[in-house]
Amino acid sequence: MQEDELKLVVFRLGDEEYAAEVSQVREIIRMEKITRLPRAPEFVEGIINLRGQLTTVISLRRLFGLPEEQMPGRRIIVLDQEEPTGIVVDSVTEVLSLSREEVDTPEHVFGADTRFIKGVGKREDRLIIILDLSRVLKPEEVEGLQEVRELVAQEVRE
Amino acid sequence: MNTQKYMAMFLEEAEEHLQNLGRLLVELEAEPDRGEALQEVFRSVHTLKGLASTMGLEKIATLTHRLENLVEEMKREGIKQELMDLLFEGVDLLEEMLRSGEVDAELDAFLGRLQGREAGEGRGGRRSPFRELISGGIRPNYELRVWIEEGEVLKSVRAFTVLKCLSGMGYITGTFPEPERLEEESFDRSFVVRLRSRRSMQEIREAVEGLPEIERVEVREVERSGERRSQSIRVSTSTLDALMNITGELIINRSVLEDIARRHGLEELQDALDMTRRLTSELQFVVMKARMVPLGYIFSSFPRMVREAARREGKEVEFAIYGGEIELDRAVIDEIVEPLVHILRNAISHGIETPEERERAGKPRRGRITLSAVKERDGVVISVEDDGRGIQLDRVREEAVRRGLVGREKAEAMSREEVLKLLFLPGFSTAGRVTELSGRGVGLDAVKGTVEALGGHVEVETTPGGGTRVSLHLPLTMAILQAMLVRVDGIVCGVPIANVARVLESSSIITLHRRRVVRLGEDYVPVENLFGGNGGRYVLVLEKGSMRRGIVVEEVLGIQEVVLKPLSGEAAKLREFSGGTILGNGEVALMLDVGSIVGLGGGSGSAGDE
Amino acid sequence: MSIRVLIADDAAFMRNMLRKILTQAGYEVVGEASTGTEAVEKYKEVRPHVVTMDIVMPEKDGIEAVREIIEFDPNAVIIMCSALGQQSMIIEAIQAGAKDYIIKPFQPNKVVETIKKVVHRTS
Repeated sequence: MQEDELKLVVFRLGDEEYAAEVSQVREIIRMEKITRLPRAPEFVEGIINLRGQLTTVISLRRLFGLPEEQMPGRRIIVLDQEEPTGIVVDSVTEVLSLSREEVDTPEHVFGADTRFIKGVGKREDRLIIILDLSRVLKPEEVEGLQEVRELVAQEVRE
Repeated sequence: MNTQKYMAMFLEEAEEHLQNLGRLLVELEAEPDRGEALQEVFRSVHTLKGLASTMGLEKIATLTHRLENLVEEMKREGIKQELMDLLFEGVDLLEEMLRSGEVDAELDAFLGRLQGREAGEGRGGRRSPFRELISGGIRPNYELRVWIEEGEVLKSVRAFTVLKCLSGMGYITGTFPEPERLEEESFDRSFVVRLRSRRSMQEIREAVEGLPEIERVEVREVERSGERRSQSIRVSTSTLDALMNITGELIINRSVLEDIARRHGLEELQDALDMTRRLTSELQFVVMKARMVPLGYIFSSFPRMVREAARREGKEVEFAIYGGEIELDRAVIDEIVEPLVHILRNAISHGIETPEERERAGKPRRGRITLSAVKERDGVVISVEDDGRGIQLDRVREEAVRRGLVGREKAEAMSREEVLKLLFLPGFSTAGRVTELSGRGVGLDAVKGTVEALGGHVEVETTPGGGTRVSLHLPLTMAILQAMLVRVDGIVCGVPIANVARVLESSSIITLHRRRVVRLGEDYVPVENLFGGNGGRYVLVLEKGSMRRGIVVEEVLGIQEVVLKPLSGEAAKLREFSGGTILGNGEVALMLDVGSIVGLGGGSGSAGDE
Repeated sequence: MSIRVLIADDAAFMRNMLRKILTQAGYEVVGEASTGTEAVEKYKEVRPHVVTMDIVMPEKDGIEAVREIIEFDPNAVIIMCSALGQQSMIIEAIQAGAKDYIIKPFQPNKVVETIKKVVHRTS
């Protein structure tokens, strides 16, 4: 099942580099007019018109609890799923192939997030966090994530 | 089964048949007219085949099977020297194999020669018993899909029993794949039969379900046979649009009148307006119905298009259309023209082979494309099927790997359905060369996009060498509605006109027991800021059944016809929205789900309701 | 009451094998025929519940035998026995009135299952 090479779309979020497997990505589009979706969970950015199909867009920044910042190079990565979903990232930097040896798969570092972190890619002095985007958006994962963030928020307040 | 102890018995019996065969062939060569000798040859070869396959002697079974075909050909076409020679050679080989067993190279060469002959000759001459059950030139009124149980070995026999059963209930007008393909088992597990019958849908279903090894049957109606058409006149679409708009205006005007009646306490006027409300809803329904257009309206331009395209591609195509009288909303019809043109062009340029290629494959020179529409319980299925070369799954895999869409290992592990899904990825194409026709226009991804935007879905089935069928499943009740567009908290939202009871200035909001309400006659309707915003100039009173609720809006943008589209993912979970729509400027507006909004607070909370 | 079966096949070897399979499954083999003519005669004589009919037999082939038996008894339950690759002949037999088929080489459970199903359906 494991292939020798991982083909990745690399993107930035805050100061860190993330990546998703090319096979999970349908297309990458420029930021466009997003219709806000009131009453939706906070991490939902809104809805766009993707060639006639209403597509829900999610902010990865908000999902990961990073501060809101509207970077000029923002892009929407549209996932290749039955119901297309877009993910807003700060910028898309490159498409990269990593060999298996260049990927670590740590078990415990990321706590609850381990479920959707496939591994960490190493290339020279860069560390690239490889996400399983299909799992990032699974409802149970999202709930888990929110729980974690609520805990963190409480600790900060206390 | 333990075949060991049968081996001696087998060899003994086989030896007898071989000797018999040798004698018969010599006799035959001397007296070619002896039909019963040929029949005896056939029987011996056939028995040997049965024995060999029972003993697991595959090579002998293959050889005898080929010889059997040869004898059948002789029975059909007469005894030609060429065939006699081959038969002698084959029987010698058989003898060798039974005695020593070491003749692989000769066997391969011999089988290769036989195969070459068969392919070169084609399957002309014999008329398929499957084809005999088909009545051409009759319009079907049913379309059936039949699934044969998994693991059934002789699918063709099962298909035949189905056809035979159906031919007893009416006329079979066609099948997909074609009858010849059913006979040679070039289909997966299911096939389509078109039928003209007076029997009821249920009778037909039950008859087929009662046959052996049939897993499931679906019957759909193509057209109601013998239904008299109501008289009709032509009305231009602009007249219909105008009618639609006037209906919208009327509904707003009604709301204004209701407001006046309320402010002046004119009960008589209110009673009269209740009637007006009923009439306006009815009017709206009738106008929607008037927008239904028979599919034949767009189908009628296709034969010419198909003919032209076929000519340009050097293909010969027979084109049939069924179900043109099925009606769909004009807006849907407008949307599906382009996808259908694309699918038809695909069928011509990639599906149907050149006449020469078809002849080589033993098919009639003329390809066949069928465009059909059938009604389902809650929608319409429009299909385009061809009897061409089918989609080569390996080439699709190959292409997907080449484009980096999937890894090689993953592609090879993909199921048939998964591979077909690849075709719908943006920009995907398996065209070996870009032709003038198929290289332009929309791709299958756009077809899928369009159909899904209409609330439907697309299915593809294909039989290598046998043809392809693309089906557009469309909802019958089109999600088009007249909506009032308003701005709420900076977001453009739509409300179905039928659910707008009043539009009031927000100055009419009063506070009652710490709740904000507006007064409508003796009724007090609670008002809320839907998304918790700062308020606005107007109050829109929404209504569904006996429930009412006011929402504060910043601006009323007007009334517009909108196409309701589904929301996905997280957005679909929100009860406040029933969907979205795309506005003229390409932006997305959200459609409010009035039912859940008026029901949210537990009703209108009015004192005068009881 | 056990199901009574007539076996028609020109190869003694095949008849033996079928007899064994059927007897083990609790059926009663009430007759054997090695030609089509014999099959028709035996049918009239023993009136079995089910006939297993080979297609290619001397004198009269199985398909012709089916036609004659069906003419004599339109409710006769006949199951064709055939090798793969003989679809067109099975189809002819079904046209003539055969109810189902089993494939050679025989798989004992498949044989029994088919007979059970056909008998159930037609009773």
